[in-house]
Amino acid sequence: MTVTGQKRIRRRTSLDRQHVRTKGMMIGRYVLLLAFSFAYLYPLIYMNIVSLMDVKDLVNPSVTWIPSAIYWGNYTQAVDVLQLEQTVPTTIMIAVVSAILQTVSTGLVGYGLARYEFPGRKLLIVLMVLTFFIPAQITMIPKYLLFSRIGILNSPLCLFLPALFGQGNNSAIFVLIFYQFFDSYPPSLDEAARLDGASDGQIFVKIALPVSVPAVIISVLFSFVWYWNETYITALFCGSEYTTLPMALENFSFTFSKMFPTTPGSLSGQLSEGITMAATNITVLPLVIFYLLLQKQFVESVDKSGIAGT
Amino acid sequence: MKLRRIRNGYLFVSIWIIGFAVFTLWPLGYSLYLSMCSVRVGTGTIHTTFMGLQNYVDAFRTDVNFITYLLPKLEELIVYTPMIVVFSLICALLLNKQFRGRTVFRAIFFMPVVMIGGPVISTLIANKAQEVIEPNKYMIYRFFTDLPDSISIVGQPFLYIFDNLVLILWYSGVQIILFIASLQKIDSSILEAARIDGASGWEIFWKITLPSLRSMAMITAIYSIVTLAQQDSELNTYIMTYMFNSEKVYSYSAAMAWIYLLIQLLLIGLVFLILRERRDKPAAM
Repeated sequence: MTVTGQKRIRRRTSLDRQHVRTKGMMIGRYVLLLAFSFAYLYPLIYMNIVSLMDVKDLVNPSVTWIPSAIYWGNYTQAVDVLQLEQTVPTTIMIAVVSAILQTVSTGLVGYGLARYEFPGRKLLIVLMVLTFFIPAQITMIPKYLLFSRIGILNSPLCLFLPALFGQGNNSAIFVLIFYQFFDSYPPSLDEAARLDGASDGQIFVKIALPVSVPAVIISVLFSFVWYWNETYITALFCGSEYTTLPMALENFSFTFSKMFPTTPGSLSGQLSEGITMAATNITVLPLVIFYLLLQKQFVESVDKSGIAGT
Repeated sequence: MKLRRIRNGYLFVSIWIIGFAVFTLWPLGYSLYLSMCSVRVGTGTIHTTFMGLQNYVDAFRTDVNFITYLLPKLEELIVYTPMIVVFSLICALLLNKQFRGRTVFRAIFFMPVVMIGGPVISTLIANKAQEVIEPNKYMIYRFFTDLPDSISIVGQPFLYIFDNLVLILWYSGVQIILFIASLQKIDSSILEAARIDGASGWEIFWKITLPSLRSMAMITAIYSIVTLAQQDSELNTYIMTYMFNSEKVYSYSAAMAWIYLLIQLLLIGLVFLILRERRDKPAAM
């Protein structure tokens, strides 16, 4: 109330402007995020819904989003064709072993590059970065011949050996992650230990390893996922003996027609979109569950690894 | 003493050096050699006859399929990459600050990372699971397509974004994380100082935030090119299956792979030229 007793309208200050703007920004942020989330989830929603539709619903143009009844038959068929009892353990085995081997070798190399000075070190780092650009198709033929010559073709060793020697799937990324990581803590810790008489090996095990846990987590997680999904090269090198789940999906229509030969003219028994979607859903499911359980690690650990510090 | 340190250094990296020599360097060289040969398979060995660049010429001149598969892929690389960089930057900005539900949104946006690289994406595409918007049903789409040709060019990018939005977002997972990490590395004292000096949020964004993201933008773009190029595609399947073609076993496939690689390197070089940090401009930090 002013002296004159009239009601005074408070002038809008810049603080008010900021308040409104921040509120507006919050709403805007949520709107955008929701819109993008919808786009992200749409294929999954679509996949889940279609996989529950039977053929009648699929051909019925008036049925778009709600199936007339929940039909599990697609899943039972998909499970048969995908041969889950074989493909899932195989996939897990290949992915886990490769991930571990790759983590070990890239960790060692990253440590060596970060903590030691030796001639050719810069060159090695450059080479490392360059290997990232090499697509798998370029080296696959000579590797195929090489593996054939040493007799390990058609076994997962074709994947394990390169991983063990730091030449696995996207290994360069992990070497660089470990390198950044080991570079980020002060060498004085090492120095102190050395003064106390520790050997280089002990320094590695007692100091470097415990610190490197976040980087190890990233490396194992991403390696696991990438090896799981790697279909081309896996199929080429061990395809005839070992079938992974993604490979089973890749060959789905072929396997389906072998297992369920169809009589022409009948609609039932043919490979429908519903069955394909059910198969895709099953293929994706293990990784999605894996991801959901560990998603904090996936998302947060990249922050901790410091790879963004250029 | 120093010698021992050097020796230990080599010890740690020796495993990679061996691996590189055996599993990367030699295959690279041999692949290049094979691509310039004509190969016959004997029992237990293969016979190669040096042919020069004939395979490369054939890929462009006589092989109808190669160009047919290559051009769409090239278009995809050129168009998707900038969009991926832009969208992942936007998403990173959205997901950076603390707010309620951030974990959930981050989980959603990053989930496709566990699904790409295999047949999952191509199966979804084949079944049209990524067509979020049936464009014909929407007024905006019809508005753009009904424009006279001279003006409708303007609408093309928008239409393209709609049609491909889902895929672009799905390919952005890792890039979003990289940008978030970069954003968090920006020295908050600089932001404070700018705010105290009276800079608006907009100015802060363009003059401080964006320039410091430049190098990550380059890394993101390069990463996108490399991963997009390796996806399931007609081109890649063609190269793989041609490997065992009876007439040109091994060699032609290698040539195609090398051509593809050179194209990727060209694009990467372009990105590098555009986005590298200029030494003469003072850095924001």
